[in-house]
Amino acid sequence: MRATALPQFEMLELDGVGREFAGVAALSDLNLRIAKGEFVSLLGPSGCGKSTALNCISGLLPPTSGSVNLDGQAIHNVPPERRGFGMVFQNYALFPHLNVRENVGFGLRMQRLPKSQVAPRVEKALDRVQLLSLGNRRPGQLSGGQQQRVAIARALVLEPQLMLMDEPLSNLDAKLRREMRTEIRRLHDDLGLTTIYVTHDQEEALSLSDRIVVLRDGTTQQVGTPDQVFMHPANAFVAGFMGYRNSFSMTLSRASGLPILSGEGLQLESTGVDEVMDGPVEVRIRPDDVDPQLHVNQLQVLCDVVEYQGKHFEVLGRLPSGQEVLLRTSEPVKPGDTITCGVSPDRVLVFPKDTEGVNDAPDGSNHPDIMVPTP
Amino acid sequence: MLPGILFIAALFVYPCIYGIMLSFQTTKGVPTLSNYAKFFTDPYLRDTIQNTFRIALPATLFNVIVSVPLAMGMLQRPNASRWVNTLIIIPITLGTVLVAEGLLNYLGPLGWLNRVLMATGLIDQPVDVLHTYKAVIISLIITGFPFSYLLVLSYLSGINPKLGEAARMLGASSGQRFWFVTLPLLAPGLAITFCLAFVLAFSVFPSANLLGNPSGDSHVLSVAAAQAAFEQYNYPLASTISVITAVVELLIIGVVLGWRNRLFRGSTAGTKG
Repeated sequence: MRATALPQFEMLELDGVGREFAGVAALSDLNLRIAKGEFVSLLGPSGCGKSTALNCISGLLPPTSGSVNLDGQAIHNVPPERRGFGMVFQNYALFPHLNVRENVGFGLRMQRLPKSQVAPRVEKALDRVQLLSLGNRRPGQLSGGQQQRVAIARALVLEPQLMLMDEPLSNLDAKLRREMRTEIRRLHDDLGLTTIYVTHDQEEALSLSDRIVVLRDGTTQQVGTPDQVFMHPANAFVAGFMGYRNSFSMTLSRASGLPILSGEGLQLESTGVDEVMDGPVEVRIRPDDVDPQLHVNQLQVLCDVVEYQGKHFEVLGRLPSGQEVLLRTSEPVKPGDTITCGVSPDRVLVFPKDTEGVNDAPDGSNHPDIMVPTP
Repeated sequence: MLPGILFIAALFVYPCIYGIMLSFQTTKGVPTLSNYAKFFTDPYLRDTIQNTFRIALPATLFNVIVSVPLAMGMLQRPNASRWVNTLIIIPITLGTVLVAEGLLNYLGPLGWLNRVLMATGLIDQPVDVLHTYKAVIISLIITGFPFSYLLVLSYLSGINPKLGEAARMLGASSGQRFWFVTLPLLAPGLAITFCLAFVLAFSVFPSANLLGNPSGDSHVLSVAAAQAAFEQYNYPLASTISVITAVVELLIIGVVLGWRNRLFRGSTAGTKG
């Protein structure tokens, strides 16, 4: 039996990993250390380099700079077929000419395991993803969710020491996505896997991960636990991506003795200004933190669009200055109503305003305040 | 739709049926099976079937099989492939007659091929290929290869590259990837390519006349039909030979497509995801 060329690792290290295509950097300077057993998500919008990073780790795409190391040893000489990493692709990449059993057993057959050893392992893998009854079907006869479970079983049956998952849930409907999400984490825990998970869905990343790496245009924006990334985003981009959808251009001034944010006809207080200098800033607030019951940091909002969400209403409105505001309220409102809301000062995030505009920088190279806590 | 139907009926269906019926008549119009009897009892006529096979089958097999590694190589080198594809397509623009004429010089005792082989010391005597069936095979390869290559290239590029990547991540070497993933997904396309290329090669005519030995080992079905029609003015016999040609081709195609039916023939572009 041809085994993997790599020994069991304790630490996977990405050291300045970058990948260029025709002079354009799809990924730059990714530094990350992942311990055995961790579940790490690479999170970001399309084109941020997360899939590129995954492909560099798998070996399918050699990095143009930096190196991927296992326990200090660079593995760039080890081809992907000898790394023993499991990979689940976004569109599953199931072999259409083989049935489910043959798909799942493929890796074991490539190792030239005798059929008597392949069959029980395949059955066990199928059982783990609850697909025992569909063993003889072809991928074309399966639903999306079933195909995805076959793809997972196919990777798991080889007992890989590292699982790489490239947006495995993005082609499924919302309900199935939530169910499979739990399944994936359960398998990770039960089997003691190490998982690197690529997604653009912040909710998925928050619920699944031990740590999240937020990427944009190939560069790392923040690395942290879900709580760190959610409650203390490192910059305005991460804040926006994690759901701080209200964005106000304001000015911070301590001239009066206390730090005051002014702009858009508002005067706001925030507890998060200690590290920020006076001057133009970007203020970020979550829609669910804009509360009609609060009276501090008052905003007067003219409601334009009201969306019923069952337990609450999502409201798109305007300040008197014309600035758009998103808020959430459980009290019924109608378009045309004016409501007064407040925001707690500790939920007002303040970021220095980039001269280029942090949200608009095309190459993403100018990012102040990137917080990278050591893993 | 009516004009189209009339067109097809007039220019295709009617001549076909007329030809088939003609094969069952004497030159005077009397219904008979004698044409078929004559074909199968006269060795000179009967041997045309094996002569045609001896030329068409090797040429087709070469074209289809060699297309595969070449197309695979070109798919991995997009820059080189632009030049290579252009070079390969050129023989199509030249046509069978021009290629055959060119080969008359090229393959002759004083032609380029022999001069090079003798100059490099690989052979002492000129290779005696001209005016034999071997020269016809060479000509068919030159004119038929672009067609097979383009078909194989298009079938290969329809195979989802992610399947190869998935196979790699599952530990498959490049040989295993070819045997277990690429070839099974390509096989139905190869069967179609073979059928089309074989039919083209089987109808070989100008090369057989110009380059081969049309009264000897290159006495192929089409040559016999032409001789019957234009030298002996025996149109019923010529029709008979054409019908036999069609039947042989249909048999081969039937066998190949029957085998193809037992393979996976679905989309290779990837699962629905």
